[in-house]
Amino acid sequence: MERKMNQTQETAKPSTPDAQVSKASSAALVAAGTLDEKQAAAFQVMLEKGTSNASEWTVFFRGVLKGKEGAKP
Amino acid sequence: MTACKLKKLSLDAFRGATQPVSIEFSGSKRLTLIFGENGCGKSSIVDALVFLCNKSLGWLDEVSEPEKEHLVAINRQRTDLRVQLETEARTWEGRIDGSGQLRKEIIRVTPDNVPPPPSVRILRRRQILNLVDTTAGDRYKALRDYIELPGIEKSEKALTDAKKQAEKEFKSARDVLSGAQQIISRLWKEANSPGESEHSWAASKEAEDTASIGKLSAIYGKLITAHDAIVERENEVSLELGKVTTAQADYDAAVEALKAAEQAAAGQSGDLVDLLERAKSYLDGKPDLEECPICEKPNDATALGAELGKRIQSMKAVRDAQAKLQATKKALDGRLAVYNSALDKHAKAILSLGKLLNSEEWKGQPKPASDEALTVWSDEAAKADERIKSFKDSATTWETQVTGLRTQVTTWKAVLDLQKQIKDALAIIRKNEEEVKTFDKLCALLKVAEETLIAERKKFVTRELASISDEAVRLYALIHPGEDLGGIKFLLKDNAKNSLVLAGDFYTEKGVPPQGIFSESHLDTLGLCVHFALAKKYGGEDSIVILDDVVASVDHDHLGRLIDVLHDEAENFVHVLLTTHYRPWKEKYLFNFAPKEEVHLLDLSDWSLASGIQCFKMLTAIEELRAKKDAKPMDRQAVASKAGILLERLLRFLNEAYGGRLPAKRGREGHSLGELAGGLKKDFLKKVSVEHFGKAKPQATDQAIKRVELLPLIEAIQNWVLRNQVGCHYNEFGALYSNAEIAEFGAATLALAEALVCPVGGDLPTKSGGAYWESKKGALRLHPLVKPD
Repeated sequence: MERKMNQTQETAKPSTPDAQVSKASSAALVAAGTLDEKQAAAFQVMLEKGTSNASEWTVFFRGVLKGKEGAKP
Repeated sequence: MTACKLKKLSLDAFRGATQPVSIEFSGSKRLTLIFGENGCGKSSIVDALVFLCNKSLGWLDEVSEPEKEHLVAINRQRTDLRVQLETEARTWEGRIDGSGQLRKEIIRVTPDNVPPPPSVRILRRRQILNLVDTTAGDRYKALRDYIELPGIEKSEKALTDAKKQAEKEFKSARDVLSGAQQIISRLWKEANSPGESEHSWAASKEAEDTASIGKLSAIYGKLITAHDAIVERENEVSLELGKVTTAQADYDAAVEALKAAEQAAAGQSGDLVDLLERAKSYLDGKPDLEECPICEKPNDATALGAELGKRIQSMKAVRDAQAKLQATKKALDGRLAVYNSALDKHAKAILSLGKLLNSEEWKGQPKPASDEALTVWSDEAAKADERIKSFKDSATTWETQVTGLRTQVTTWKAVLDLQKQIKDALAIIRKNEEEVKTFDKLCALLKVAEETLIAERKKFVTRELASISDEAVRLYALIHPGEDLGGIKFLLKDNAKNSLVLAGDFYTEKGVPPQGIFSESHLDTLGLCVHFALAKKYGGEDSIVILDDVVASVDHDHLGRLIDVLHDEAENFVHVLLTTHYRPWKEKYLFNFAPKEEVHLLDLSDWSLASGIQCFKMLTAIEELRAKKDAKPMDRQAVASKAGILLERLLRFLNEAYGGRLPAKRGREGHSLGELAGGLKKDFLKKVSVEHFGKAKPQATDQAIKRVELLPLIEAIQNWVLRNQVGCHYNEFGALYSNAEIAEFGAATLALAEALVCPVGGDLPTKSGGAYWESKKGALRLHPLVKPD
């Protein structure tokens, strides 16, 4: 019973503010057609870990461009 | 995180605690009020909790290094310092673990293998000002811990940097593209703008087949190079021949000069000079020689040497001529060697040309000389002069042909160079057209991502701030009901990073900065409400909230509502600790104008170095009177005085509740007990009664467990006059009252108090319950609500 309660609490645990904004931003970019689901998931992970290297973002979006033009990112 | 009840906080050698002191909490109450005048140790207690629970130096975090040392009590050592917090679950102890600069990193809390103590959220008056009455930037800093998104902000900055870099590269690629397009345009114009457009012209030029002229140009180029090498070698031969001629002339002149010198020396041979010089050298080395070494006749070596010197001197011209002859001979030999070498190189250059002309590569091309001549040119066994002569014999024909080839090659080279420039420029154009397109798309993607992230961050922060604002407004409205002051909102400032605007509504004006309109006490409660909203949202049940002396001046009614809010909100936290030096707050509880049963009341007495902080349980007026009345021997004066003061408060409460007719008073002059007792007439008091339900929030079906008529209780207090005569003025009439009469006065007052004060919440019935007054918990009702006509 106690274990079950703990699990419920764990499930109900609110995500961090960073994670909330990461998720919302990814969803907004999917809705806008900028990213597909797979790309959005990767984008969200990069946001959540606070990617501070500009080159990593460039590489990611070059991959997105290639994906849009037929090749996989 | 440990949401459990606090039991005891102990301090030793911590700030004002020069002696060990313990603050006992009530296990059943989540609210504690510590009253103490300035300098009694309130902040030391608060800082001790912050020290232990937050591993922080409290307000000392903000002061200079030497001042931080004041964390340790003035007459104690750092190693003595100890703060202990005991809860229902466990006990933690905080100490300073380490030497050197006092900083939070050396705070050690044990045990460290269990959940940490609850976190503390503290509000000091200075923070209220930082939150409310400050600049937008400082306000953001005050709330930064709550609304900051470190990961997102890092990503946002990196995305912005990536976008800027992509824009830079886009511009660079576009510039390169433009440069290459300009080259094509220039070349087209230089070619007199042929064809339909520069693009079609460039494309046709690029497509032209120049392989054959390229190949011929290369072969002819080799021939011209070989020719030029021959010409260069020939020039060298001519140059060296000139030098040989000069050297020969010098030599011939030296031969003639020697002959002339020898004739001048009477036919003596120049060789004799050498012989004589060697003889003199011999004699100079043997000064003691007594006879001639050749003829063996006796002789004087010195005289003989001198004679030889004279003869040598006379023959010097011959000797110089000989030297000159040797030098010119050597120079001539050198020049001849260089000349022969130049001749050899010249012949080899012709040999290279001959081999080229006889090669497969040249096959099919025009022959600039006869086959016989070409055979000699390419024959390695042929002598140099023979090869050179053969070449010179064909020179006229050969030069004409080479000049023609040279012209042809120059023409071809111009064609090839033009094509190369066009090809290079077109390659750049093609590459950069792709780059420009890619960077354009990349910039657009990064821009969308950046803008989306910023928008979502602002949306999140705005939502957070709105939820804080909504809760703050709710609490604020509870404290300031019916006042057209509200609509408080925190807003991110437009076009400025990390700035927070605070706006409120003021009657018809919407969105005005409250600090310009609200009174100081309104700003105080506003800051407090914001703090509570924040603490609830981000700490809640796992945190202790401390309000450290935040109320400076609040009127009676607002203070009452503030207390109600604090009591209601305390349920949301592990504990709410209030410290104050504001005596009206304390007296609200002492005289039961606030639900004192819900709060644990503590009093700090004056601090001294010897005794340190001293903490006592606070007694209400009822508790004090009961204690004094029951004491043996009874303190007559104290009982009379305390009963009188309590009775005054009770009667004033009834007069205020029912609009008693009291004489007008000026200034601070209060009404006497007689005036207060006469304020409400007997006919009215007959209709006043109190119901006790014995539990909070009784239902409509619940019956009162006790019903008390008020008139008999008030009529029982006949001897209120003794209050002045025994409790205040010490006159001789006071001595006429017996102890029994005084005790009876005290008991009657207590009976009235016990009838009017709710035993569940500990407060007087000050709230409107519809048809009656009721206590905060609703466990006591005073009938009726209004004075009947």
